[in-house]
Amino acid sequence: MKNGNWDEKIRTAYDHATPDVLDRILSACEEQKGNVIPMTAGKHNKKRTVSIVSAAAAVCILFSAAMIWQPWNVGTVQPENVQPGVSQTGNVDSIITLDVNPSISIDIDQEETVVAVQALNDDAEKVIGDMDLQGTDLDVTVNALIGSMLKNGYLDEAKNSILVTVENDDQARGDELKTQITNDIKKAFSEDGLEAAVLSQTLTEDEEIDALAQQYGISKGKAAFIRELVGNDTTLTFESLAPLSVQEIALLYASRQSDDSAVTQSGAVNESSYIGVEAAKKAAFDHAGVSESDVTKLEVEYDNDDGVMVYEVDFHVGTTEYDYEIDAKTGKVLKAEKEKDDDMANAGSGNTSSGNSSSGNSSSGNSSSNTSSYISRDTALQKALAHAGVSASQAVDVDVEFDDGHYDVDFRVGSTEYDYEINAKTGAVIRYEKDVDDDRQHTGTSSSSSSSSSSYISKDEAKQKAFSHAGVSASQASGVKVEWDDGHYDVEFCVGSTEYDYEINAKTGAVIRYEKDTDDDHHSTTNTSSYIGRDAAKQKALSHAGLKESDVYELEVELDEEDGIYEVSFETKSYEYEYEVQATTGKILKAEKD
Amino acid sequence: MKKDNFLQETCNKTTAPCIDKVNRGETKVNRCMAIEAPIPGNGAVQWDACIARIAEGDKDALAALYEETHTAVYGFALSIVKNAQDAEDILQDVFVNVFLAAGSYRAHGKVMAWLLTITKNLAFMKLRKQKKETLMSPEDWHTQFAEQIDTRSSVTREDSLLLRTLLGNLSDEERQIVTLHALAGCKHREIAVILGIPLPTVLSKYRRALRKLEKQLEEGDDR
Repeated sequence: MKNGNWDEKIRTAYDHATPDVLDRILSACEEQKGNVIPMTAGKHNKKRTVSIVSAAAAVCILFSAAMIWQPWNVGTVQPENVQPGVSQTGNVDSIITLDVNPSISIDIDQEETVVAVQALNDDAEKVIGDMDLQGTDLDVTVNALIGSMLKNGYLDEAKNSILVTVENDDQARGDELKTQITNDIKKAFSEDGLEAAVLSQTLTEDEEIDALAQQYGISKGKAAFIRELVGNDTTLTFESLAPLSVQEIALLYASRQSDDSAVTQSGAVNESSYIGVEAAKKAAFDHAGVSESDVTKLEVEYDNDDGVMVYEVDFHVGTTEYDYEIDAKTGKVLKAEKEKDDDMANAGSGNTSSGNSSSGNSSSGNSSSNTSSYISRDTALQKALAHAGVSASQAVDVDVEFDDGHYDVDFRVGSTEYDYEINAKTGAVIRYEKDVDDDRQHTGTSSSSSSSSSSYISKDEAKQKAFSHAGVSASQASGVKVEWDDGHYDVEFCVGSTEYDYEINAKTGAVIRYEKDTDDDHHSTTNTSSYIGRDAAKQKALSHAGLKESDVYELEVELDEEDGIYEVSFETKSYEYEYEVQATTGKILKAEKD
Repeated sequence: MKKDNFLQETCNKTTAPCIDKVNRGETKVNRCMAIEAPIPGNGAVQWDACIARIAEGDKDALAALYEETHTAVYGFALSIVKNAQDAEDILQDVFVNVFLAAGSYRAHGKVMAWLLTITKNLAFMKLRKQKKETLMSPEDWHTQFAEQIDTRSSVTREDSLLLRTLLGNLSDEERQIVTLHALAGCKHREIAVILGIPLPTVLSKYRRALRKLEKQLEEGDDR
């Protein structure tokens, strides 16, 4: 069986196996739109019904409606931790959520007596422990929970941010509670001689928030806070913020606060875990080789790049725009971008705010970004040009960008676009892409697609074109996939660890675009220095099997970074072997012979 | 200020002139990060515009999105939870979720990636919830599979065998990689992002998974 068939076979199998639930979805959506579920009355009862229904999971419409109604009931809640309210305590009037990293919800009645306390994630379970808070006053409960978070290290001097969310349909009542709880928290902190940063908000019924909370497995309060932040800054995404702690999100929020925010902040977010704005500025200026006095339009704000807190430092020197990302903990330059502003084609997106160099604590972070061992931008450009076989005078729209250990080099020659990744230390070409522009079917050009398929080449022919261009034989290529895509074929295949991706003109068979991606330069953050190495792992596996390297073929050693395991596989004429070798000790964890 | 700009952009996007209807040929292709297929029966509108319409409560737009993507969502969910009933629940929840949260969609041009992320989160939530339950024995698993999947009239013997092999003989990651590649049209690089594992691991696991499938199914045919 050929590899290329697998995608199709799998698709067919799933196509046949997938149930059609569209009608159920539509009617569930109808329920959502049509019924405004009363928020205050009998809320607690409703919650309890939900757990029963979700346990049964049979009545689908109800099920999904219920899930959206109280997302955390099916999400992160561990039901055994719920301290259910007893009827004599009365109805739930408000729900209060405390988010730090532990997320805890507190249901109270009109007398501010606690009806139930729920852990919304695993950390929260530790915080609650075996405290029985039901029936106590709200301020006592808040004090106890904050105390426990301080004791368990979720809160301390450096991590001092708490998000308080009050759910009550009566906005005034909600605001009142909000202020009260903020003061309770600040008091609990001051007992330990600390200062809290309390962010507080009130929340009324909002289906979108419910859905977001459910999607990302976070509390409604955190979802509302993130939505607020994302709504005000489109460079941020919900997805990237959801996993962050409230401390981190609060920093992002504090550095770009807007006036009409729905979130109230009381107390400063502690920034002592980070190098500070001044040090971040210095790191960027040093790297760019400019002095602060030359700089205009300086903007520094917190950002988050794949879970790493960074300072985004943007500034101009003359007509050149600089854009830096500085690791907020180490001061390392993670990204450096420099752009001449000559062709001001993109109007509209001008920076209106200028020179906002908020006064951060000028801690002397050792921001020595070690860039001396890197090749220069020019060298990187030369390497790319040489590889592409074009001269510097031919290339236009040149853009060289430093990005975490490599340079991104983009340029254009005529209608061909080049995109290179150059190793910033060695100057080696990590990846390159060449894109001929004539087949661009982007907006504007209305290429009415009269598809007379008779004049097209076949899939097999397209595949052959790609193979011969790449200089590989059909037998070398694995995972071959050929797909039709609007006038061209997409041909993908692998040779060893190199991934090829071709676009072949379906009429002429010409290569429109190709991409070659070799993976050996994948830089990982894992510290692999303590590992025994691929060769040693290979030897361990071979000797366990009682074989020599010359006896086997298809020998592969892969490092599974997540688990710290070398996966060694090889074959002999009669058997297939698979080993898992512990990367640190060389111990054989798994041996399979098939 | 920023907000105004954003709103304007969004409006422009929604009312942007339609891209010419694309003839997709014989194969239906879902591009992972940027599906740009037309919405059937409604001329050609980009998927981003489709999400904008869903945000306004347009059920036809939701149905169109469902039609185009539900197999990928179900397949990916099944590849994580390995239980047809749970996967079906997730399939439903994903689209109800999309309907309610479409207004917060920001990943312009990456509808499929967005859907798959929602699917992944809901699926892992379900798994986490069930963590404390005992693992199913292989016998129970096969019985369950027979009850849930084989009873669907559209499932052929060959489909059933392939799905059993996918679910039973591949590791979780291998299965998820193969599924995303086949159903969502994701490239290996995109799969690496969605699953949060390094690209070389994706590549090697993909190849190993295909080898396993091949071997297993050949044996199955011999029997």
